[in-house]
Amino acid sequence: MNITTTNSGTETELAFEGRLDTTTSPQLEAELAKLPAEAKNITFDFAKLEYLSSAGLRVILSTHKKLTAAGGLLTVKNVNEVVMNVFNLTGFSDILHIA
Amino acid sequence: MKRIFQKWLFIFVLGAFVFTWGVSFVLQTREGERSAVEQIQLRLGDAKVEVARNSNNLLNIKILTNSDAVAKARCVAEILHYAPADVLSVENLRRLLGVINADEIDIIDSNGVIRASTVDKYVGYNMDSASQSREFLAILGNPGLEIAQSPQAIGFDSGVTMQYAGVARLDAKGIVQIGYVPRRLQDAMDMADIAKVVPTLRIGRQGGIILASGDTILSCLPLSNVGKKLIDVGIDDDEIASKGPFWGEVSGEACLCSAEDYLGLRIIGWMPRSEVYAGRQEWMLTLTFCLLVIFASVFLLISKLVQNVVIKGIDDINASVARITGGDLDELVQVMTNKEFVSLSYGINTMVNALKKAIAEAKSRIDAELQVAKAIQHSALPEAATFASGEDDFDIAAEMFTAKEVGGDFYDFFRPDAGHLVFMVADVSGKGIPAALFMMKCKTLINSIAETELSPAKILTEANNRLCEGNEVEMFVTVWLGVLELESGRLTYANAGHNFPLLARSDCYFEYLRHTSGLVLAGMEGIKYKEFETRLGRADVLFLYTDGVTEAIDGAQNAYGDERLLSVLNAQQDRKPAELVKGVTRDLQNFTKNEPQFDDVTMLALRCLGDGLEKLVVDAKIECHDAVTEFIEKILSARGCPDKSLMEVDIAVDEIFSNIAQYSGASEASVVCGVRKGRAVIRFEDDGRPYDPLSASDPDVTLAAGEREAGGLGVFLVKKMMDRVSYEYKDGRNRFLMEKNLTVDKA
Repeated sequence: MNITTTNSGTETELAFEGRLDTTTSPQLEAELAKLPAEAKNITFDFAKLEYLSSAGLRVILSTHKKLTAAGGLLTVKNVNEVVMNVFNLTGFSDILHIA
Repeated sequence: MKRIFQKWLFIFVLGAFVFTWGVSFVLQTREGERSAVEQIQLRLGDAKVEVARNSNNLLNIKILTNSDAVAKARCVAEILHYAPADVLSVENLRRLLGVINADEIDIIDSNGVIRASTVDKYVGYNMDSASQSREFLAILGNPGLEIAQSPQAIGFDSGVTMQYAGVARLDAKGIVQIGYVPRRLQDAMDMADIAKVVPTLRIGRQGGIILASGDTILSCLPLSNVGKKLIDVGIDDDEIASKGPFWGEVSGEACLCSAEDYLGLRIIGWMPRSEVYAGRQEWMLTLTFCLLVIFASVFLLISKLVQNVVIKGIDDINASVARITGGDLDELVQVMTNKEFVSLSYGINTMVNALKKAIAEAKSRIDAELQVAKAIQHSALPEAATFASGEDDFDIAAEMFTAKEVGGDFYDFFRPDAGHLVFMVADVSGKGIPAALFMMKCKTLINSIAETELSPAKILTEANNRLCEGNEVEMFVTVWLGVLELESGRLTYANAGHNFPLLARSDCYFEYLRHTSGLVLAGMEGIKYKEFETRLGRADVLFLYTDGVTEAIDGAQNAYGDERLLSVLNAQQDRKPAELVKGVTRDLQNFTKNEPQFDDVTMLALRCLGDGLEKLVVDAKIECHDAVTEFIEKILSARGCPDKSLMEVDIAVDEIFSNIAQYSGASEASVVCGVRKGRAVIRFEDDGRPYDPLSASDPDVTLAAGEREAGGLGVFLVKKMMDRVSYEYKDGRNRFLMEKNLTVDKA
């Protein structure tokens, strides 16, 4: 999976390409850890994400919790059908801000 | 039999003929001899009468002659007494000769000297000078004496024979003597000579009487023998002495003779041998002819009778019995010519009926037993219709039609475990009960070996070795045996001398699956069978059969053949195994029509419904995650799995494999994947701690984000994304199975 990070002050956007699963979620965690502390608003661009599994959900949930606690916002955009289905099934669609 | 009978009959008849002939011959011989002797005796009697009469006649003639001579002498003495002087003259005397019809007159004086005589030279002859004349001198001393002499030589001249009679002179002392030339007496005696009479006495036609005085023949026929000695004509004096009839010889011919001495004569009657036996010969000729006719008739009659009454009956019975022993038990023996044959016919018929009854009973018993045997044999074969369930990825059908009640073919299929199907078709050499028994043995044996061994080659190798042990009946069996790995569709097979099966790939035509075949089972110990491998995919059909199919013949003795089987299978629209078997069965029946089935016919068809599942074995490490995903994606995308479904599968795979890799403690994991009946099928196995992921309760997906936990979502997702999930722990392994419908998306 490739993650392209675009950082501009508090706004950060990560563009995914590939799959977010057990093997790639540590990569996302590492990418997020590299972001500066002021990056409060993060947008995940799932346009090129094929799918994600529970490992990805776990990172998304923890990111969401962390940002919310810091007064920030996690936005997910360009969600494909499969990923949307996963969000729906797991109730994430109720939690996340899906653009 | 007829020949022997005729031989003995001929010997008997010949014996009887010889005996009768012999007895008749002996009797006829005796009769001939007795009759001949009787005739001879009769003729001897006649001869004796003749001899006696002749002798008497002679005596009378002599007496008459003598008394006549004495009378004439007395007459001359009387004349002398009255006129002695005149009378004494020679002239008177000679005149007197004519008167008294004498030949000589002598006057003798008292001195015994002839004083006067009609023969001059006798005058002066002294009577005392010869014995003949001296006899008369007795008259001188005794004038009453009258003497008549037999003819004899005279005393005066011994060369002259005369007969004299003499009386005393009345005129003086002296003797008157009258002489006769004995011719007269001789003439009279000749008249009554036996020698003249005897030749007229014939015995039979050629026999006669021989009259002999001493050993000199006086009279006989032929006259040339008269005067000969008896011994010279062949009659022995010694045999005459025996007094009985005897065999002698007359004129060189053997004769039966009988002799008798009578009145100083020897009378011999004889009859030639040929005549003695003439009657016998005639009789024997007639008898022989009659006997021949009689005995030949008897022989022919008895022969014919035996032929008609005995031989023909026996022949008829034999012919019937031959038909019976030839198998026609409905044949009736009907020889009614006599009581014995009726009894024999009845006996045979009764026996055959009893036999028929016994056979029928045995047959019905055997039939019943065979029906049971048939039921047992068929019950030993698996039921194809209910074997494969809807869950199975294969469909199977099989049929066996035995030529007799029980057969030597068999088919078999069974699952030694959940993942394998063993199936086979086999053909035992021979048919009927022996083949059926051997078939049961083979089936049981292979079945039991396959319980623990899944290599077809090893199964056949082991089965062969076991069958070879004590295979004294020298039967053998051809087997085609396959082991199908159900998940993968991997087919391994081995062949022990069986026909090649037919294989159709998906929608392609059937073709013979050719490979190297091993020797038949139970043929030779120690054979190593080769194993072959192929893979059966969706709609692949395998058709197994025994040579009872291809070698079935029609009315014209044409074989059904490989080509026809191939074309019938290819012509089949519906390739369901049951339809294929039915189709071939139907075509086979159309082909053979009413020809009796001579060999067992067995068919088995197997069709794969799904593609085979493929398997990947990896280390239970997260590093192998991508390999697993790639493996599954490759399979499913190749089977036309939609992208969305594929991704959902990927998600599930990620959840399950990451669990195994991270939490189970397993060292090795395997994943099996494929499409079956429109569903993607993925199964994980690992040797980790037993853990059922499905046992965990689902997470509450309605909680606010702050209350959410990330755990439990993975399995929850799997449950939601897949259409079917299941878990089991078996043989030390966790087994997790999940399936996803590929046709209808799950919203």
